Amino acid sequence: MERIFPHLRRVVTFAGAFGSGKTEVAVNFTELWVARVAVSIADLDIVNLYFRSRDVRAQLESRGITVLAPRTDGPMTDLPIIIPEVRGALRDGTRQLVLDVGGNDCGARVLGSFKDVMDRSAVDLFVVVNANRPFTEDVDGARSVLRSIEAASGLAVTGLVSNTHLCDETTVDTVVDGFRMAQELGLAVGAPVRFAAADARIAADVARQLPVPVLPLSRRMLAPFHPEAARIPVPGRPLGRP
Amino acid sequence: MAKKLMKGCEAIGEAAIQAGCRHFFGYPITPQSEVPEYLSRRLPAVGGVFVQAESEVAASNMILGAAATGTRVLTTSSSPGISLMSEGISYIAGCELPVVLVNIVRGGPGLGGILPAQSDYNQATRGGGHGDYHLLVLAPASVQEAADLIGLGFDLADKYRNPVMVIGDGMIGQMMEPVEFRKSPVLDLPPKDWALTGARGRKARIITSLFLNGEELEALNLRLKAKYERMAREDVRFSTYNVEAGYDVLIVAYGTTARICQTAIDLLREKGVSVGMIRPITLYPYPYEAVAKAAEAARAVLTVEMSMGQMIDDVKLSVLGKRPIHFHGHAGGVIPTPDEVVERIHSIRAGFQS
Repeated sequence: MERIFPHLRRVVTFAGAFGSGKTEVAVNFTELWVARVAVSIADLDIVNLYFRSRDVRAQLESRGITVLAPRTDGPMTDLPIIIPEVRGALRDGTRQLVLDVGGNDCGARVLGSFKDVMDRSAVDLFVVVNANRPFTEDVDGARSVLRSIEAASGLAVTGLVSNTHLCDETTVDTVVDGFRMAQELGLAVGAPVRFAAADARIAADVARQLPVPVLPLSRRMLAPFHPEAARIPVPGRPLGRP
Repeated sequence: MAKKLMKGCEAIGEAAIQAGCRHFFGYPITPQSEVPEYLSRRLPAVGGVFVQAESEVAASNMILGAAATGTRVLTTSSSPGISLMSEGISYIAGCELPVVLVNIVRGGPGLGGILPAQSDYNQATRGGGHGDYHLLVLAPASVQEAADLIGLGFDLADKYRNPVMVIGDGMIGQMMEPVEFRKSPVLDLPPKDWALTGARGRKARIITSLFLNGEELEALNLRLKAKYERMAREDVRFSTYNVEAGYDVLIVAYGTTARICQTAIDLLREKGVSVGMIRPITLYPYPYEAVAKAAEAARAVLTVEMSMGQMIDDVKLSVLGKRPIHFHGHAGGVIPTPDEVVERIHSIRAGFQS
């Protein structure tokens, strides 16, 4: 991991605009990280209950990842709760932690509530950017979202994650074009693009064209009719039922 | 225009703008709050008006007022909010005003939940409020189709001077898919010679749903009836899947459920089982004839819905007892899986052999 993504801090936070791919990136990133160290992922999305990392809790736990999210109910339950274990994990200076945050500034506001237990020098705030999404199509739009996230969270962005894609219609060019925008955004806000993310099927081709590491994504946040969705628990289907 | 990656709700908002709509009145409710969220940012940027009303009741009367001036106007809500709007919607139908309503359906009854459902089918297709009226109801099965049907919906609302509802379950509103905004083939629309634009220099116009004279009110009812009959002649829409191959079971499903059934049909095809599907795009007017014809080629019909069985009544009205009709459904936000549909098809086909 240190080789792929150098200089990671103990707590890696993924924030960004609605639908930028925070959860997809956070889940895949955590799975890669856990191969090296013990790591927990905290699902802090209290804004929108569709497509959250707790939906794939069973998969993550089977890989030895601790999932910090309310256990009271299955996925798709609207309980805007941050469980106390999250504060414990932030205080615990030994364990690696991934924070999967809700969208926009309203999703990032939850980070502000951890001020008293957060050692800022141990926290990376990565903003995930998809240049094909509304309001983050250009540097001006993406910068305004990024600044609002910084203001709401009380943290400074330490890096960008370039995650431009078009779901099943993504090509290598889609990712490469999006990376250029992320790079411009990085120059404008003074934060480097730490890595790009791309569907595992094209990640190697993408990596040959980009100057940053590429996180291969195996997609989990799929609509229930997606042919690959059969592999994962269906959102809306309470856990523990056939 | 290059493709964008959008949630259904965002695409609905953008499609309304592309269709020339500059007025939105509504009230946030999950799972459609992304529409007002999107339009509250976009409408001011294009010189439009965004008003968050104090309630859905107020919003439904605001769209009545805006539509009366001949301008294109949108409101969006989710199930309990649509119920609150029902009074205004009935008045709009009585005033013969073109508006586009969006219902991103969540489970009910009552406050229910905020998960995807198709349990407002009856409310949408049978009018929903009081009095003899119908909405023209369009049901997209993808983000692209949601955008396309918003454009078409504004045209059809103008064509018929009738409220149009675009209905999608929560998944249609929340999932992201690539979308492009195409100019819908613009219908040859009648002039809005009824709009309240200021009577200076012309005879005053009145838009009302109050008719104290019984004969006058019946004249409106007959005019509406003629309108609905014309919809059934000219604007029934549906699509089919895997019907060319021949099939012994026909699936009838719409919206997200049709996508799930499509995946199930693909899985069955791999196992050498051919199943056909007909997907109503207009839920009102319903494609009765097309469903009847498609059912004739099958030995049995399976209706799949995210409800306890509502559209199945229209399937029965299509098939008229000529074929057995089976039902598979979930409610409350539980979504049928492709595997379940495959199982159901196997058990129906097992019945053929015995």
